[in-house]
Amino acid sequence: MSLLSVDNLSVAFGRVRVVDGVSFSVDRGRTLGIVGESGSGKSVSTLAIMGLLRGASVTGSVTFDGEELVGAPAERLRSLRGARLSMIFQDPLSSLHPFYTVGEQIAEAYRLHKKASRKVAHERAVEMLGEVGIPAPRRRAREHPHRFSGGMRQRVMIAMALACEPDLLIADEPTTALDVTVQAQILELIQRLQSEYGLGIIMITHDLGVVARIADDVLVMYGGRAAERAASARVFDDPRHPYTQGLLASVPGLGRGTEGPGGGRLRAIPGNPPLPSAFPPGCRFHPRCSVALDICATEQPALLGTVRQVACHREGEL
Amino acid sequence: MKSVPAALDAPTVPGSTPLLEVRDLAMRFPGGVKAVDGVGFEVAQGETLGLVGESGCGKSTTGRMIVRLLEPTSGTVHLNGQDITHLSRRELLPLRASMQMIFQDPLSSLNPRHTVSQIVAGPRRVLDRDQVIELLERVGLAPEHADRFPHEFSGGQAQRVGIARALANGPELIVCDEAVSALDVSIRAQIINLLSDLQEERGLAYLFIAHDLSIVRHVCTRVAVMYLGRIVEIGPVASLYADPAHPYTRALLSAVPVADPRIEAVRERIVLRGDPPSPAAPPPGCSFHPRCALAQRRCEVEAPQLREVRGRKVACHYAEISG
Amino acid sequence: MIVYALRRLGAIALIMLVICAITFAIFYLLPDDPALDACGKSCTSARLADVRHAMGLDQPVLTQFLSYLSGIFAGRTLGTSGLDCAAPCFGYSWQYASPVWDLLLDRLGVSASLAAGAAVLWLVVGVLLGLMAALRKGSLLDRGIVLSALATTSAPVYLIAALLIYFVILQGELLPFPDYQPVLDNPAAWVASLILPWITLAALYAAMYIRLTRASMIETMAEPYIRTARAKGLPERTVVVKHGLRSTMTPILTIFGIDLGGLLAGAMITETMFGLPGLGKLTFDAIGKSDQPVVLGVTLLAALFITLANLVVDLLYGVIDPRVRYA
Ligand SMILES: Nc1ncnc2c1ncn2[C@@H]1O[C@H](COP(=O)(O)OP(=O)(O)OP(=O)(O)O)[C@@H](O)[C@H]1O
Ligand SMILES: Nc1ncnc2c1ncn2[C@@H]1O[C@H](COP(=O)(O)OP(=O)(O)O)[C@@H](O)[C@H]1O
Ligand code: SF4
Ligand code: SF4
Ligand SMILES: [Mg+2]
Ligand SMILES: [Mg+2]
Repeated sequence: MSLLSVDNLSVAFGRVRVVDGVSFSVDRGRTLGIVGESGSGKSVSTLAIMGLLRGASVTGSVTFDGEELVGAPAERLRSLRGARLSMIFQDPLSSLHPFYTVGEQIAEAYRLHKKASRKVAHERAVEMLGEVGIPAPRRRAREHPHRFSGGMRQRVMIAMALACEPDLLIADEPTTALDVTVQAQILELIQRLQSEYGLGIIMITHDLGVVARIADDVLVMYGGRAAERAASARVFDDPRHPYTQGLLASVPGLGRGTEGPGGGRLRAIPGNPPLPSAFPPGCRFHPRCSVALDICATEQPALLGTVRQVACHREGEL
Repeated sequence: MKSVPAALDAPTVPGSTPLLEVRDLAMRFPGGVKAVDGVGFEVAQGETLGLVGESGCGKSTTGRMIVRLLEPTSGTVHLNGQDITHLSRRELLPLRASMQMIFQDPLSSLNPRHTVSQIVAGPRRVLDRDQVIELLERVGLAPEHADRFPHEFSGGQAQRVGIARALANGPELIVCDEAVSALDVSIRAQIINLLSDLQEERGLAYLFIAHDLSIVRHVCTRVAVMYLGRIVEIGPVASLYADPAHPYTRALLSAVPVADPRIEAVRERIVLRGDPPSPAAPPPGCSFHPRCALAQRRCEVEAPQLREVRGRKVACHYAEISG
Repeated sequence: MIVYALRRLGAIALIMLVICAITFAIFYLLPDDPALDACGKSCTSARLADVRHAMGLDQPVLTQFLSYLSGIFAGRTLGTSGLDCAAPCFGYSWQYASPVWDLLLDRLGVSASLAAGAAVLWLVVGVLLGLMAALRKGSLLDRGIVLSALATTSAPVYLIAALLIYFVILQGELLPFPDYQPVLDNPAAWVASLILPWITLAALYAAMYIRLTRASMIETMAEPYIRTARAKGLPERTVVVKHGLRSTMTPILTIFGIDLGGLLAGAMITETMFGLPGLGKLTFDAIGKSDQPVVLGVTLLAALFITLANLVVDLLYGVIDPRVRYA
């Protein structure tokens, strides 16, 4: 049984359904990469799992370690958050409270969930800071976030998320705001901690390179729906959904759709990603799809397949 | 965008003047921050030079000094052979047309109270309405977009407006400061294609500031790698990417994730220790030495100068043995 | 931080000097002649000259200004009247036949009592209601609070005071008309005399603080670090109080300090309406009678309070927000 399995998850704000019937699962020690353009529903889906969406109506099923989370009492979700389900975010500076020391912010969750004393929790914070590679952790634990660089702040966020040894870590674009050199450090850290703690990880990103580096499985989202879902190697080797193909062709430098180094035109997808208030009918990708059929404009393609799932009317033909 | 055959570090045909020539450019901000410290390069007509490096290394500052949004502390900028470093505002006016800049955040760089047609035509109305519409269509917008305001546009469309504005005066050089960084993957590809078509049509030269090294490889003829206010390596894209000579360049390139899990699985990665130091207190000697795996005693005391190594210029004492 | 505080104090001294000079200049340019008031009804021109001479008003303005300044630090004898005014001498009120400083000191107790009580009241009510509105944003409760705050802000002080006096004192006879007693003499009478003025002032400010707190809290609760706090599994109470409230209070503190400083000498209408012998009433009366030394003294005192309050707030800011550090 998977650590987390999400089945037919939908999220609506008022009448606007921004996530529509998404399913995926994550196992212990494995990483699921969720890719998609901004507004495709990546953050909303995972915030819904965490029970962190206020004012949204969430339907479908989220089973975490055998327990149904959709419709679970708020108090139950709260006791899981930070203890067994953790999350880190894109902008590590604004995600840390400016007025409290990083040590205090890490210790806070540990104190709460492990019923630890202030002193024990502080020791745990120092230990975690060392664990994520912050030099002189004892001294740095007493400093405030603004004294840390961007990469260090993300390390602090990771220390905070992992202090209670959770089973699942959701990382929402954790390296988007960082330099590539620092991104490499953070990804390496996440991978090391994953093998140490046996974490299941959901890595949200729009950088296909990051997915290729750390994901075992990939979910490609478009317009609030799953476009394609398969093992990472399959998706990159042989993308089946026209959107996935377009996405890969849009990334220069890897010989796919470009003449590699040496330039030429990129095979860009025309048009813009749709807004949830104006999702097109049928296949939401059809206005931008170069191989669309008439049926695509009217009928929603189902996500079909076993080892690989693709939501496209032309799956199998192309 | 590779219309000009790449020479070594100097793009120019011997004897001709480069479009842009920057020598020993330095910027010291109040408080002693040496944001840029002796940067020099040339950009030929119709060429694209990439400028890469970690956040805070002085890329934007360099770009802003070139288009004279910032007054350099020292050094010179020549445009078509003319020294423009110390021209007054008025003397600069006719040259403004030949140099333009586009920015990362397209929305915040457009005046929210002006319509697109006002923005593109510019304060001195160099274009009439038909010309504005023609330009908008060229950058992939519709004529009816002319009367809309910037906030009505998506990020990609706003960047198209920014490009149209930059094109209005018929520039020869455009400084693109992270012009595609904020855009979604599919939109980013559209804008890159647009930039490269325009280059071919109009013989534009770009100074392409970016932190995404795979885009730089796709777009640029030559690339300059900056670290803490200095250029540490500059040369043709193909050879620099295939065989980086500076240890920092190698680390930077190896850090870029490649969209192919098979390559990623076997790839050797150099993960740099620590963060880039602050330009307010750069380390002595080679400023990269605290993070460099090859550093020797000499590196701590003697700053390496740019010199010719394997067909490009490198600032490292041990460039020959690295790589 | 100490260096910073000292530098700020230096700046305050300079500001005070400038304010003093400006006020002095304004009074000099005004057509009012204080000597005329002091001279009385049956004033002859010869007697007027005598009075002017006695008050020192016949001297050049610069001389007057300098002797005023030196009086603050060293005390002085006023004109040729032989009246001694000990340091700190802020001039002499002919109206009250008393040195201005003594008058100010005498009234300060009343104003401080008024301001302090009202401040506690409006801070508690304003912040609490503001928080409730913010946390239930969009609800009926929120709309009710915002609407009543709006209504209160648009009501003038004298209207609130008049309503209270009419209903509580005259109609309800729940309280006697305020007869101020110092708190140490008779605490019960002190409270009784101040309760209505407190409510009057607090109503005015609470409305503003409700809106301020509400806006600030709504903004804070949308910060990513609040989402982090929730993601850690903290109970909502902890999220609001520990993570939300602390940031929310920072802008409120700034305004609070300045309001309090200003109120010490600025509760003119309230004090006058309730007949409280505070600095505000003193000013009100002094303006009416062109008692320039008193107006000058109150102006300086008020400016001092406001600038000092500013300094205290800025220093506190550094304590609350570790990002703000003073070098
Ligand atoms: N006006 C200024 N005053 C003081 N320091 C400045 C100023 N502008 C920039 N700096 C500093 O100069 C250095 C270089 O800044 P610059 O903006 O050129 O970096 P960059 O390479 O463009 O970085 P990024 O990739 O983040 O855009 C940084 O350390 C920055 O903090
Ligand atoms: N609180 C909210 N209320 C209404 N719409 C929202 C809210 N949060 C997100 N959305 C919308 O949901 C869509 C998906 O958002 P998100 O999951 O954040 O996208 P991303 O894939 O970039 O993470 C977006 O169009 C966004 O505007
Ligand atoms: S269903 Fe039709 S429109 Fe959608 S991706 Fe497949 S072919 Fe294109
Ligand atoms: S000079 Fe020395 S420290 Fe600098 S890059 Fe070369 S080897 Fe490294
Ligand atoms: Mg997101
Ligand atoms: Mg920059």
